[in-house]
Amino acid sequence: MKRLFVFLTVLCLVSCTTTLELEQGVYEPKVVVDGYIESGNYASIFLTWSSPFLTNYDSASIRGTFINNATITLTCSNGDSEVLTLFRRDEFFPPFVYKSVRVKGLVGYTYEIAVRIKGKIITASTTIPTAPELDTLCMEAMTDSSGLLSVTVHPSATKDVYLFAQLKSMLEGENYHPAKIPVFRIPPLDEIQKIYLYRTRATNLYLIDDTEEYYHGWESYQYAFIDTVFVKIGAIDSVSYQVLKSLYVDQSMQTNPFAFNTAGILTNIKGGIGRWTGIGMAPYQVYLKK
Amino acid sequence: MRHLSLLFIFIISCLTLCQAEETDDLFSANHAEKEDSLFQDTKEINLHEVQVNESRHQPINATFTGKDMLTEKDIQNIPTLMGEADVMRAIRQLPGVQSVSEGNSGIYVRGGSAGQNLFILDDMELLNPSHLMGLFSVFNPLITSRVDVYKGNVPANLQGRLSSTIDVQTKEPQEANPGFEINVGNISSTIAFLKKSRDGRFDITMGYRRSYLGVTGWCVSPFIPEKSNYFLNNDYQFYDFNGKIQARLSNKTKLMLAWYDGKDDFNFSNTDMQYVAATNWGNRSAILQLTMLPDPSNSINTAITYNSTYSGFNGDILSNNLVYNSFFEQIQWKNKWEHRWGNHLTHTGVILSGQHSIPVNLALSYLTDTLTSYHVFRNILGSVYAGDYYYAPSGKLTIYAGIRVTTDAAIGPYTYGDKNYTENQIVKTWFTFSPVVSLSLFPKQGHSVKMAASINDQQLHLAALSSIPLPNDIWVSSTPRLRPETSDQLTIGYYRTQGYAEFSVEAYGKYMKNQLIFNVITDENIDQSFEDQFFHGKGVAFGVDVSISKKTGFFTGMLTYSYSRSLRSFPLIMDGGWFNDKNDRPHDFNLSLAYTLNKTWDFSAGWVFASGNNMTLPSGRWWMMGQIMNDYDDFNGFRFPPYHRLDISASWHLKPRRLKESVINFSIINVYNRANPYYAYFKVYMGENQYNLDIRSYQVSLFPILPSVSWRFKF
Repeated sequence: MKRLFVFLTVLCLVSCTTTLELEQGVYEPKVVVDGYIESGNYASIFLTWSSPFLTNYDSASIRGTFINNATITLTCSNGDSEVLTLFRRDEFFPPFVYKSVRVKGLVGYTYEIAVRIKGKIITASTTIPTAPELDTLCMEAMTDSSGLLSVTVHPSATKDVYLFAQLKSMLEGENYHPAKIPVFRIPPLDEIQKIYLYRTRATNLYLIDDTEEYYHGWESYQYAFIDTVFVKIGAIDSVSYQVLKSLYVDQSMQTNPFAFNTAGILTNIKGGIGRWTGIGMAPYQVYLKK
Repeated sequence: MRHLSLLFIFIISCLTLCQAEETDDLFSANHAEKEDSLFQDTKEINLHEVQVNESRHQPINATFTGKDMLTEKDIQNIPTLMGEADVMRAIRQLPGVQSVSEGNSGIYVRGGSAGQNLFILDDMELLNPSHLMGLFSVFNPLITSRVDVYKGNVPANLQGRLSSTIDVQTKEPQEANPGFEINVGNISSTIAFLKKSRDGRFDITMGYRRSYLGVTGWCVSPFIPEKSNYFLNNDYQFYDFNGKIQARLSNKTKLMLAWYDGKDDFNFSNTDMQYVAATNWGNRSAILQLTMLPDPSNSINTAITYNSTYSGFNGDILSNNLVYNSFFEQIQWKNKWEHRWGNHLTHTGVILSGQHSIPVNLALSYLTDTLTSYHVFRNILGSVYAGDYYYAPSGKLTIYAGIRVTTDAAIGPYTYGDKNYTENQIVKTWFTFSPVVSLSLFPKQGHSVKMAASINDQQLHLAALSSIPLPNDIWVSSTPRLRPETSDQLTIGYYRTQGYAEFSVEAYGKYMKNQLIFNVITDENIDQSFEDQFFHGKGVAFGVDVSISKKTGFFTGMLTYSYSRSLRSFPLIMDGGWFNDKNDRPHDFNLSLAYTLNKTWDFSAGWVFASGNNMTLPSGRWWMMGQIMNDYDDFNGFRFPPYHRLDISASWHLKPRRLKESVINFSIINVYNRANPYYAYFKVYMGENQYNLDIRSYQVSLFPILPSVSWRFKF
């Protein structure tokens, strides 16, 4: 449906594009929590301040958005607790991450965080559901040299299963990042369900300087047969699903001038924005190059 | 002067079968005894033509506050867009009607939305009144005689929408205007034919308009590369064909057949972007109407009407195929009786309607799967209305009171969840009561004070598919989960005539319930019920419209200013707080001038200035997994820069030997090339250094400076 509007846009017979001067209203920066804990792995939390919409970032101002003086306490519903440690990781953005060094994610448990920053306390809670049962990962040919990645999933017999998918391409030399459409709801059905994992860029979709990338100019969503793609798929709870879905749907609509976000974005962070996601990880899967 | 105008309106009333909205003054003061019921006397129309033009503009004489009228001359006088005069562009110059038009297929009257206007052409309803993505209206300017615009408070027989009723009437052939009239514009041409039989028993009015954008592409092909030639690479056509045939079966009986058929077709392909797509939309309407005047005091009008609107899309996108259609049709039987007694004009009527809407018929071939979605709704409606105009013998008071009672039944087959209703089984019924009261006081010559209060309802909803009104927007009947929309409106106005000048000020307030916003972002919307894809809420609108005009003499003009606010509240949008409607534009200033230099040349100009409309943009930014996410504080919280534009026009009246009339029009739209925003978007740019990011917003504008030449002639 969204593409329909894009076609209609072209009907602007004598359209011209100019820079638009919009006035930025007063915006109070908020604490942003971008955190997750995977089953069998340590918790990771990136903390930043949000910025006004029309912000020109340079290296100084963007560093001002990083929060590296907070205290984060992670508590598991089994009573285990730990204060997270700040690490510098240049391969990520932002390059500071708070990690647990002892507490790992366990399926079926609830994990709460409490972030203390400048007298504020921001809290969030998530659970790690049972890992999904995946079947096969394959590439469906779309051209002679490219195709779409798909995975088959065994649904639950009794309840919805919510999935979160992340990818990384060897040809791009990238880190794991969410797929183009990263969240899925698998209803309780008898049949195996297939989901498609669309390629997208590791960095933001709007960043226009992608000419150095291998997939520059390629068919949208497709991978090359000669690529090797690592796939992480995990189960998340329904709250995390709603939060992540609202964020990615909003992001995908941003480049469509005809679309409008009527519902805003959702968060499961109390006192801030962002997401705190527990993920029951299925075994990693790899598509090997042909 | 007033008496002459009354006489003219009396004659016109006879010619047009005494429609209630035209007889506002018929019984006032001392002229009731002059009425006549015959369908003839057409030669009298040439009498007092000058006085007529003056009188018909005066809102001071109208019974309803908020009523305006446009004549053929008003429409032809505004600067043309690409050589085409346009009814809708003339309407947008009226106070209380938003003047912004570029690429926007809707109009916005006193805080209402695009789907809250009732467009009537010769008693036929038209639901999608635009061509070329809203650049032109569907009304053929060459055969349009007058347009009545009611802004919220309307007589009971013309109710049906919350914001306005726009009643467009086709020309009647007269001895002064038979034959052909042709307008040759830049991208389309129009031909009109009007003829009355010698014995006056039959007459016909027809108009046909067709675009030729492909010719434009061919003309510019020597100057630009073929790949860049938009018009040559894409096929866009629109046409409309409408008219009416009238037969006077006797001195007191007339039969009329009127019709409208119009369509836009757009085929677009871009191999680079892997798009091959076609979209179309259109209207079809017809009416067969029998009018009888059994005696001078009564008239009976019976009609059967059919109207439909449709839109479609068929496109191949990245190896996927999307076929999308929507359709709405309605058949009505209408009966109206008018009775004059004493100082009263009473009208009553019955309307029975059957509606059939298919808002969504979609098939999406998506990789290896095909997803389909099909929703159909049926309704039966019955309306009974009655209204009475009272004209005080002193001529200082006019009162109208009316009520319309509507029952709307959604019928099966209908399925929602586990509930199944069989064919013709009633699923849900609504009763709505729409009273209207209008009071006009004429304390002394040249002064009047009017007030009106009404409760309006509308049984049809327009679901906007995007943030910009598009001709592909969806019409749907009321359904069990989409209740009829209602509004309460109060209007008060003061009107003053001093010499050639007219002044009016009107204030209004409106409270709207059951307002809808189509939710594009829904969860698995392909499987979801269509009815669940809406937000439900309420709205308020209030404002003041001021108008000063001079409408006679060589130099005429009108200056209007509107201050208006339009707010909405939806429980599921930003926690139910009040937010600006997208088209909440507090200030709207409109100046139009016309000057007749001599019999050969006349000039006109129009300048509009309006607050920008609103859009929802993120208020903040944040990072998640290396990507930029958005934060929202407000809905429709950003306002575009103000809209302003100057248009000028000159008409050269030739003196041809073989033609009855020949006029060459030169127009320039957007004289100072103002880049008014159509929509906005933004991009994020990476700098050369690490962490350098720049977020820039852009606007797309439709109209740069647009000169045009057109030739209109009669023979």
